Amino acid sequence: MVVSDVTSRAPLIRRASAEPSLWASLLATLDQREGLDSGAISSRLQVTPDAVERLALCRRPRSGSEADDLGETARYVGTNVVELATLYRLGRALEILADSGATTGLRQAARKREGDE
Amino acid sequence: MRRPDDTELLRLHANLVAANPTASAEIAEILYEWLMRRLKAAVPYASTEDVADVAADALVRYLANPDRFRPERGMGLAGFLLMDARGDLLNLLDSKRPQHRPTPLSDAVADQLEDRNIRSMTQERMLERLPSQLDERVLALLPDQRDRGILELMMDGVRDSDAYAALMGLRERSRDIQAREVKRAKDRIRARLKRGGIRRD
Repeated sequence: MVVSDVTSRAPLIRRASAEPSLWASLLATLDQREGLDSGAISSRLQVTPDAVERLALCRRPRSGSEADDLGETARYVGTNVVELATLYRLGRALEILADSGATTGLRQAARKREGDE
Repeated sequence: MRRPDDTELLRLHANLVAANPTASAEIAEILYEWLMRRLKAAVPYASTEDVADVAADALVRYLANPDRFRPERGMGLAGFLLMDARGDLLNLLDSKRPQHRPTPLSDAVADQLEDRNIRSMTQERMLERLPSQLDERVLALLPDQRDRGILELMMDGVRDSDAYAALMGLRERSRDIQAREVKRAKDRIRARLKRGGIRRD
């Protein structure tokens, strides 16, 4: 769950997290796989928690129109488009890795590297 | 809370269909709280949690697949989502209740109301499921839920007196009595709205 349950929009965001066309599902992935919760996203994008909720309800960028869509979404949320694009690419990479079942392996490899050092 | 502006929603719906990235958030911003309030008002015995979940489901289902809403059918987006969510809420509450099988409506009435997806319903269930197209002023003039239902049928241009008779609980009465009582109810509602300064073109 990426957004606090105390907000009145929490049930809406929770439901939207299961919808792959919306940002909410990507933010949920970032939360689950990278520990980037609502507060962390808010800090990273330098926006209010309310803006993170509004981002969660936006549609993800269309392939072929990513730059335009990210720009429009960044303006709507009130953040920097480069930060938003970076977050989006990180989320997408995590989703792709999760789909391929590689995340666990990568994490294990990272832990092993840390242990070796 | 005022009913959302249908023209603005229609514009946002067109943006959503055109895959505008922020239209979904803008629509949710306008409609989610309104949907919850109207659902709670329509089905006051439902829990706040059920109302919030059902409103969220209906809204996200629409955002994911906006073609489900067909503006050409004449119903606004707010009314469409309210009707959808109200049906889900009643189904959810039904599933939590002891079994109850409603008396089906006659085919004539069901045909009239087919677009509203309210076949096989008792009078009480029809009243609960009717979409609310009425603004706050009209609601204040018509505190009775049955009168509101009759007005909504009138606004939708429903002419078959079977639909009105079903709403009024007159299905077992003779045709003459049905016609007389339906006319009386319609005249009374028109007069009350007129006295309240509301005119229908």
